[in-house]
Amino acid sequence: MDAWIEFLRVAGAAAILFAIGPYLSAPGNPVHIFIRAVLFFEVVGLILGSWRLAHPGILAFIAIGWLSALAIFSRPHDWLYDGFVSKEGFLRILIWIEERQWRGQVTQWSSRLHAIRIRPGVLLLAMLTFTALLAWLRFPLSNFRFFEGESYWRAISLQAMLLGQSWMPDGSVAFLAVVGHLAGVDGSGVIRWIVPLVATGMVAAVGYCAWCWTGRIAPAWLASVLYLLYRGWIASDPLANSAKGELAALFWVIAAGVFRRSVIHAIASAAIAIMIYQGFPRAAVPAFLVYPLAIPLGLFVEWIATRLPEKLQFCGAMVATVLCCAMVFARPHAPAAEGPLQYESAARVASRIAKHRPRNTYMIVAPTPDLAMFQGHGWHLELSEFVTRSRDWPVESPAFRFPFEPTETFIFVEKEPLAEPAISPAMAVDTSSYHYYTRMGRTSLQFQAARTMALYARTHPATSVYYEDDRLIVYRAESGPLSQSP
Amino acid sequence: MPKYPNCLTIWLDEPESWRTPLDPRDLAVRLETDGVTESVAKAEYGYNSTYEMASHWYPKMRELPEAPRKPEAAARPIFEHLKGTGFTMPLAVCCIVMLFFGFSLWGGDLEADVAAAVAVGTITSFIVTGGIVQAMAWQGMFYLGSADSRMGAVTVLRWCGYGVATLVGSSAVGLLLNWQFAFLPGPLLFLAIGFYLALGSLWLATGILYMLDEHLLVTASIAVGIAIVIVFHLGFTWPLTHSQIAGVFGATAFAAFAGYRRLKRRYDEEAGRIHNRMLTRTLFFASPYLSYGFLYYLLLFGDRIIAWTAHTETASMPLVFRGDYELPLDIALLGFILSAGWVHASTHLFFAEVRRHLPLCATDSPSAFNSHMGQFYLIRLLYFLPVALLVNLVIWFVARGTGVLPSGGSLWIAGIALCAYPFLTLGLWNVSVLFSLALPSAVLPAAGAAVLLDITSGYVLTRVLTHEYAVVGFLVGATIFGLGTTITLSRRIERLDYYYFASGA
Repeated sequence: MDAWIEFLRVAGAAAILFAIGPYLSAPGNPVHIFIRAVLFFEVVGLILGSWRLAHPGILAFIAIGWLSALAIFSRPHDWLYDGFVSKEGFLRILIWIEERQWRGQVTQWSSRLHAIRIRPGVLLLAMLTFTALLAWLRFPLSNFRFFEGESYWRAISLQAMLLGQSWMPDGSVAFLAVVGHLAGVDGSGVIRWIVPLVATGMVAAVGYCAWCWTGRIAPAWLASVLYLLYRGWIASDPLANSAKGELAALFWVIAAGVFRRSVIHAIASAAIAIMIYQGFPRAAVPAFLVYPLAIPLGLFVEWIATRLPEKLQFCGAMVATVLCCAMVFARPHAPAAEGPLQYESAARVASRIAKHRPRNTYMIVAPTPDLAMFQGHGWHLELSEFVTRSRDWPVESPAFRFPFEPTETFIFVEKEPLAEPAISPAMAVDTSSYHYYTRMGRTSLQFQAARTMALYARTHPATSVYYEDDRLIVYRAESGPLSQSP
Repeated sequence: MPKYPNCLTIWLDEPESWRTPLDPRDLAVRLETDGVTESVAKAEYGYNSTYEMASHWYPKMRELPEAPRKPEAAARPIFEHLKGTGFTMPLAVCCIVMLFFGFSLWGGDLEADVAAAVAVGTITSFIVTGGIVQAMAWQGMFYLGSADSRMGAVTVLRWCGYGVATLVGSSAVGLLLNWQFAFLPGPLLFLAIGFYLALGSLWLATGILYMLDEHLLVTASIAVGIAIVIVFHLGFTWPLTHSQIAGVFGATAFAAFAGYRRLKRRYDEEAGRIHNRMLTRTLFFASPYLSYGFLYYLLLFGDRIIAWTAHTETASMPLVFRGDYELPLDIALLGFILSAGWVHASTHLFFAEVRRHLPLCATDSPSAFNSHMGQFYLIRLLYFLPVALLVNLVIWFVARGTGVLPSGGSLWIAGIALCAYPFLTLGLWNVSVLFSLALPSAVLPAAGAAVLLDITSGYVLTRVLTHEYAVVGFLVGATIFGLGTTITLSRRIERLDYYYFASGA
């Protein structure tokens, strides 16, 4: 339930900022509006983030100012405040309420929905995108961890930006800062929930691009179907994956689609893609490879379909769509149950601590990927640093307390070291890569941490086990300010 | 017996209560105001039009001797100033009790987290109920002032109902938002809501008494509340915050009961029609008052919220009560209290001068009247600002000399706030005059701009520099509010004759 609410908050914020808000301010082509909105918040995010000023108030002020400017300049006659017009508008609302004109509005909206419903092509494409959304939602709804290192770094980068901390400009998160603030979700939450939204957008964009170039619904539908099947069945990466490349690919596909109608918007979309990922992403290649097959085949299917009875056309397309959707859900290789960079239980426990403990009153000693789950809520000490420093501490002395400012310290120790993608110890270029990318290094690190905690717990009765399963143990130790340490 | 319109009957029976009409057109206007429209004049009095009726009656009225005019009561500036300062009596009582006991009806020696929760509850109660109290006073005084006391009493009670509904509804929204966004931990949230509901109800209840000009009862209700706090906290050793919530509810009950008794008396004394409840229309016409009340308190407290939320990355809550920011502002508030009486006195003197000077001017040359009032306004303004700044300078030096504000930062905050408060007082005077001229909407651009600039400038400065710079935002906002409303009122004074008659002030 909480996960669904958080997803709806992120999706709602993204919809308001990139679609509904700009559209209501200055109605027009929805795709063009989307491109302009993303470009605006990308540039604003990069500038403010670099200045460590991506604060909620400043972003809110800029967003409201921008939407107001759009509204003012899209209506030349109302560019200055007109008290009379405002009062008239207020009175109209009054009449709207008193005379219950909203009833007519409801009828009007329902008739519009009916108009959409009876367009079979729109319905089929909507089914495909909804399928993509559900398919890509499965992983984040049931998991807290990410599926690749890049997502951890993006989450940490976005959270640092949201907190106004030192930030290395990153185009893949810059435009998401405003989403995070509006949704009230931290960096890891935004990155987690933006994955299904981008995947859905990708399926829709592939179809949209085909429709832009052919003006026919059948090639668009077929392009979306083929891309969805490719991502669901053929692509090696699981459905949980959505890296910078895929985000950039979305804007490359949109750029290709809008190029025929508006070169400026195509350039803007390409600029966003480049800001997100410097280079042409590999994730865009399958999307573009779909077209040589989808467009001629789609036109051929349409040519045949027009010779069939209308009901049969729709039924055939519906069956094909349902089959495609079913195939996506029946994909054979699901994401692994654990890893690759973090145990699921570690991510869950870190998130739980962040949610239920007062801010900044605790410290978590854990590998860096865990930081993404509680950054901005609590203090963090890298596990390897803890192990290094603990060599000089008299941990067996009952008078000793961990010399940390927060009153509680949680130490995450892997009972079974995580088997993440490993390299040979000879390939490790620094201590960090030795500790986390070699089996020997990780095992050694976890063993030393476990030993330290075992010695400490023996003479400190207040130390307790906060969480334990077959692979992970989380100790809870009382700590104190530096002045109290020996 | 021939039927006469009400106004003519009054005039014939008590000619001194009605001024002689200037011409038939003047009389026609007065008849129409009394409900004698064209059709009424024809159906009930047998004239073809209201003007024909006025033309018929005008010569008869001219034949009657001019009624002697009552002399305008002499203005008593010092009395009016003291009366205006009476608004701040409850605050003064709170300050005195704080000196003796170390706590008051709200506030005291609390832990930082608890103080933050109490502060949130207090500030939001002002912001949410501020507009409702303004609207209640506007509509209530309109009915009570036009001898429609029954409707006045009903209106005030209806607004209280809207106020309580708003408080409860917004508390539910606050709970929902906190559930999702976790601004405050559970116990502190309920403490904040407790103060919010209690103080919000108190502002509504005391709003009735202020409207009925019962300042002493307001002070009495605050005293009752403080007595409850003392008994519960010192006598029964309840926690301070719990005692304070009980005390505020006690004060609310006292004020509500006293207000209700007085309204009930007025209700029973006069018979009158009770109009149906028309919520949407009432909200439409009251919207300038609602907006102004909301904006005014946002201007007054916006800088505190900004200061408390700045640089809280390492704190246990996203909002930290900062005593080093609050204390200088409280000291500066003394300057505001001292000048608050000036607002009431100046408004009273302004309209006394209007009534005194208006008959001296010819009806066909209003510019002399408008020009005179413009000069009066300007002199009053030039008299106030230097005096207020001088008084505030004295307060600042006393605070520094006595060591109440030891650090440089506190002195700086107090200095800036003391510079801001005279502009705020000036703005309040302008608003008071504009409201009396039935021009509430004219206040909103200045108030809106003031709040916007207060919050934006304060926000940017505190995020880039330190939390003390929120006070600069307050100075900017107060200056915009004072100067903006001055410009607005000056423009209206250029046509004061029209606005004065149109408002029926």
